Amino acid sequence: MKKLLADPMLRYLVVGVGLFLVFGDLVDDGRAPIEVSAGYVDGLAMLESERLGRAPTEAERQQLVDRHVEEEALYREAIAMGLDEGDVIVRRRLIQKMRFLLDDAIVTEPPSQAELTEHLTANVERFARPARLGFEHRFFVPDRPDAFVADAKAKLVAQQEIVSDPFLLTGLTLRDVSTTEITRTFGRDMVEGLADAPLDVWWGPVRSRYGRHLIRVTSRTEPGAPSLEDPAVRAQVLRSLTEQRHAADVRAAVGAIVSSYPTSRPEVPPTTVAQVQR
Amino acid sequence: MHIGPPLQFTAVTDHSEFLAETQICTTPGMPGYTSSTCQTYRNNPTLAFALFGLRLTSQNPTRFTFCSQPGVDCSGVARTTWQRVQDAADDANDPCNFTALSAYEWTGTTDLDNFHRNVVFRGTQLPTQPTSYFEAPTPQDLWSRLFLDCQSGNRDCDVLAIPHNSNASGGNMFVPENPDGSPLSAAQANFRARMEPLVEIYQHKGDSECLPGIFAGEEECGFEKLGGIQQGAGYVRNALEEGLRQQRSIGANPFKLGIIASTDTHNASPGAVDENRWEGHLGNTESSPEQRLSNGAFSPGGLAAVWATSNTRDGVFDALARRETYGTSGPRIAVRMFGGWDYPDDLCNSATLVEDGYAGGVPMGADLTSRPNGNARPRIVVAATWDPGHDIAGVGDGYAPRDGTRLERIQIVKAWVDGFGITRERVYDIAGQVSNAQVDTNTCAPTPTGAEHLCAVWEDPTFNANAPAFYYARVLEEPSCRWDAFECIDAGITCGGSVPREYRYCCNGTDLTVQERAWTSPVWYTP
Repeated sequence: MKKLLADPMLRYLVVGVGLFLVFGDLVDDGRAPIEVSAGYVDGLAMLESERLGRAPTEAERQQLVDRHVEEEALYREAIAMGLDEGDVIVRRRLIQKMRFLLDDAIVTEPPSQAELTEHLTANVERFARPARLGFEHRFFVPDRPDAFVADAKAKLVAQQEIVSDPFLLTGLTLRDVSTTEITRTFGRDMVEGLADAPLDVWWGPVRSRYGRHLIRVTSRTEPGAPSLEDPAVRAQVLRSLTEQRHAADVRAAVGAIVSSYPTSRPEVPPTTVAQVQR
Repeated sequence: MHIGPPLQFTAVTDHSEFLAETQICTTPGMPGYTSSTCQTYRNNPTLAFALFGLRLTSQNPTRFTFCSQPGVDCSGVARTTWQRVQDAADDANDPCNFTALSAYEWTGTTDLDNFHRNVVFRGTQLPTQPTSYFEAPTPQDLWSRLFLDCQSGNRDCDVLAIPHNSNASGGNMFVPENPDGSPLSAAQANFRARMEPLVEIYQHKGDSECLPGIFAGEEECGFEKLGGIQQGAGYVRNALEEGLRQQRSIGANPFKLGIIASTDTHNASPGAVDENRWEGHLGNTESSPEQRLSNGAFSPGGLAAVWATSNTRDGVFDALARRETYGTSGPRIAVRMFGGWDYPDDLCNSATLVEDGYAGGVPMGADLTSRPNGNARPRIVVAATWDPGHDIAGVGDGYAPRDGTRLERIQIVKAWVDGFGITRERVYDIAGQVSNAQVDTNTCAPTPTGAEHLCAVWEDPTFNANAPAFYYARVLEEPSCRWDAFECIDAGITCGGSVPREYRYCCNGTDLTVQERAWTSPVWYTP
């Protein structure tokens, strides 16, 4: 007997059968009933009506209840069988929840003025405000022949009346707009065209997302050094630094959780060149 | 994720009802965190969504009981969270570059009918307590509270409410009476029009413009319908028409509604409207192709457009308040509309169309000026420019440039009240022409037909000076691939062979195309 029990496989089997004999009945009797209250059904119906755009019919409500009971029973059975253990999706979801919790719970100290200045100085390019331009333009739809546009340009230079097409997105005169805004409205080609144009001269045609434009640049402000005095820059710098710090704080919190566990890690052998190339 | 060209403005908004409850239930250590409601919230999201939603369907709504347990302060936490919403908007707001407005959604769902409104603010002294369905169980209560908390006195605060998803209101979003069933007075009608100058005509959960039917509507009313049993009275065109009848009977129009569209995203992804890269709008219930395809009536939703004098909070809010707005089903179509009495026939050839439009009449959203003489008929000019697609590069991983789809037609939708007090409607094609373009949903190559620019000056041929009327423009693109066609292509589905069950929609004859569009706010004529 003693020898028999020394076999691990058999030992588990015996213990398992024993457990079943002792607790099998109990498990059956001790099952919490699956109760579906009227309020819960209303809740399910509410969900379904969100999906359908109307209240579900009686038959659909019945189906919802049946499906819910089935799902609940399967869910409980799965938990009882420990199917959540070692499941990669469940594991990933729990880890994700943990990260969400940490992300929300950790309060990051607001940076000081000096720290903001330091962050700005280290990232001047990132926080630079875009160049600004003032310009006039006349618009030509793609159907207009090149000669028509060339003729219009000659007339504009000679300060004569011209025919051009309506442009819906802006007026004919734009004062002091940023290149970001020009990109958004006209497209990148237009910003490049405007950059090439000399001041106060009819120029072009340059291409936008919509057609061609004759342009006359009236003012040009190169991007100045970003300053914390500018509320928009300040907000950006603050957000950037706070996010950076918050991420560091979260990493630290994760590190604290990790180090609260005794861990033993294997030595990671150095990677050989051959392995990298493969 | 990435959207195409960056947005120029947005509203930061969350459901006002559970600003506190969700915060408490997700913050360990907060009083209330261990309540059974919060445990359900954390352990069974599906049930929680239902239980939380159910709170918003009662005629006498109450907060969860855990809110009244000792030490739990739901009102206080709601104030703090609302302040965080405002802080987020303040942070992102960058005058003349990007406008972020503070907002929340009032989520009344009485008896399962959708009465939801987005409440949008301007100013530096916003109410500290957000108004939710619990404090204000009817829209009338909402407006009264907003008026008292924000607009009365000398506060630096202004507000407007924008009803949305009226297609799911069971026909009850635009009922011209008070909650007790009494008819509206002129003062009440004017108050409603002041608090709600706009309506959302289209979003993730379908189109609310008009309902196709035997006695009403027209073929374009079939656009993006949610399905199920529908009531015409929940649709925007019906509301605008009821407004004309009210104008005639009580001398005021409670439904003087300008038009916007939006995503109604619940993923914090405003502007994610591209058909070719839609990732859903309802969190993890729409995060897989299978989930999206099984709710095929949903779609990426649309965009709100304003003609503002500046890209600032004041500029954008003023445009919203004066209804100088339009909505699109996603594309960045540009559309101008002006109404007047003597626009010249050749206005479309003028480089100063926009300036002349303002000088000679009124823009979308306004009332026509008074009729200059007994022979004058309303003249409407509508000019539209296509969305040429995305050419903005360097915006990161997974970014797919999108080709533009050209414009097919401009239409004018006119409705008026006839001599019997009955509303009539008519749709005119005023520019472009009906296209029979076929879309290849196997490749989704852009439709080559259509126009980049369309424009027309139109004079009302059936004008009756005694009949209240409105006119709005609808701009149709050529047909293009709907989001589900892209899902099918991305999954490499070939019809004819064996098709995985979740992709059966790709091959069962479901229409995988869409005719994207823009809708302008109306101009109104009042005798």
